[in-house]
Amino acid sequence: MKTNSKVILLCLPLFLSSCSLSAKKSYPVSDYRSTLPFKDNFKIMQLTDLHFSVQSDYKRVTNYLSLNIRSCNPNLIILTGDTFMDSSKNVVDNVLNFIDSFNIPFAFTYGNHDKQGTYGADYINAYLSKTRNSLLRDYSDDVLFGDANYFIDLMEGKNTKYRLYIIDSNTYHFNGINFDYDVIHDDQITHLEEIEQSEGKVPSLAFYHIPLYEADDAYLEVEAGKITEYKGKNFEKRAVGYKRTDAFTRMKNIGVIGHFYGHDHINYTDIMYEGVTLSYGVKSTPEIYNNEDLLGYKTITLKYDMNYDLTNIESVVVPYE
Amino acid sequence: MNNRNSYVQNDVLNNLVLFVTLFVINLFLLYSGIINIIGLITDEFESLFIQLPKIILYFLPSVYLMLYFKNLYYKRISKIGAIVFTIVTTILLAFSLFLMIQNFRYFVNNYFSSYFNSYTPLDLILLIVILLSINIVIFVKAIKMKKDNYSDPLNPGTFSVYTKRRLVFILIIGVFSSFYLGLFVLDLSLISDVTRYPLEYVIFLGYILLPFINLIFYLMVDFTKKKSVIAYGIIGIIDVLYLIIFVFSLNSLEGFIYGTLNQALLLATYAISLPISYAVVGLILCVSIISVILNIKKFIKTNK
Repeated sequence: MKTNSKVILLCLPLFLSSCSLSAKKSYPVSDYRSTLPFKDNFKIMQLTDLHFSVQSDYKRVTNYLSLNIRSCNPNLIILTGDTFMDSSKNVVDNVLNFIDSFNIPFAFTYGNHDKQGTYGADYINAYLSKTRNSLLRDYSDDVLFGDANYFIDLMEGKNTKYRLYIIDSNTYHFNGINFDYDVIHDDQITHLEEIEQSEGKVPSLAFYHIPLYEADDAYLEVEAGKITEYKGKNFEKRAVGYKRTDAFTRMKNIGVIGHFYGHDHINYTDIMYEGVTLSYGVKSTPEIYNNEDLLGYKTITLKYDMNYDLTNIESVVVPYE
Repeated sequence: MNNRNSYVQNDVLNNLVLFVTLFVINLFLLYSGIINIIGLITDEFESLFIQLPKIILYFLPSVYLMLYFKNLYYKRISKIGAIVFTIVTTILLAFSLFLMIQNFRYFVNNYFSSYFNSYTPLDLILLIVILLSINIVIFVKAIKMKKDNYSDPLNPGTFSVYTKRRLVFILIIGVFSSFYLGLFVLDLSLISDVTRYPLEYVIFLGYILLPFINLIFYLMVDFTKKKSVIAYGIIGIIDVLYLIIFVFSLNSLEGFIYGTLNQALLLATYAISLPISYAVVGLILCVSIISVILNIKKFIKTNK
């Protein structure tokens, strides 16, 4: 083999790794923005950890969800991750069509299981873009880590009353032996700060899947009796990301007053921690492990007078028949 | 009658074509079976009795194919063996049917909702019918034939190519490498993964294809011919190099570090996510490398 050929062969992997087949782009902050009109007692329904898979009894589970969505009658539905697990394109199509069929705006973010299906990494976002009511604004070719980093401004006329940050808390991180849960990456938090600088600071809520380290800190303080302002109980270890980050502090600095996540199926606490609410969603289907007596959904009611504390958050438990 | 000059009468060729065709069809069934097993593990066996008929029925054809391979290339099954085989598999088929009837609502709900395998339970029923028909043919043939005649000691198998040890090795590696071949075919269609992580994608595809390449080499190698053994040795060297590259990539490339590629089959447990799929391929490659070393050592010893 000639020397030139050897050099080309050796350089090929380096070349491939240094370039992406589709170059990453930076989009303006406004491209990640969705808006909804605000009204008093704006009701957000948080559905989490649906885990639709190739095993699910689709009709039975969707009947349960239908009942809950109709009785809640929210202004916005937010799916905080693990909507899918061990699924297929057919599962994704069916479930997203089902959510879309209620004609209620909905926001989707990823959990650690959503990409565990027989489809490519862009499939869910591509399908969401075809639905009528999805508010997702993310770009597969953007520089931001993750696939669902966008925000929803709740508008009163031309003014933003509240802001909802929808964040992809990503999936896994390889530690050399096994995969731990990933964290929200630094560039994603920087992106939130850019949003705040560009669009102004307003009271905001953050929705994502994997809880921050602070979820564990807060519960330890509850157990130690240092925090008394809380609701609910946790029944399992808080499965947080693989490392502690400054996400909580930086998000607090940009006006985030509430965090809403899922991931741990049998943890149900709402805790006021350093002036910020930290809330586990209520597992919304009986798929994989769960507490059969504690299935349902969570509602967050946003008021015109801007009062916000734990009374705005309600866990609704509905028996699964 | 075996006339090698006529493709119509060439049993060797016809059997091979039939085997390869069945093998390709079986890839999809094997893949579906493994997807359902992973689902069962991830939902902590909650849906055991619903998934069991799917798993049994998707995997059973592989057992039939293994038996067919054994008959073709090693030794025909004995009369008793054939009877036991048909009885055991018929019981499994009946058990699957029973579980499907017991969970009738689940299967019918999903079928009429066009959910996931909208062809389930039709595909499962089709599999039951086909396998049951095969069982009847095998059983009737076994009953009619005399014991000695059926085991055919003078002409065991059409080719009688492999030794027992080699056959066992082929069957074990064959199941896993076939699954990864199926995964390779599926992954070729995941275009968005190519554009996101081109290098990781190429390395990953190469990694899951390597067990099948090893299998082909192992099927073809003639341990009495020097050139053939050298070629087999080369694939062993490629295995070692690829394993080193892969382990290095796993710890250095973004697509691997964040487990972006092929999560469904990569992370087979829900809580502590071990890279089981990577480990299984690695294990197959290690076994193949050991096989290469041992066989080359044996070849050198016998040719001194």
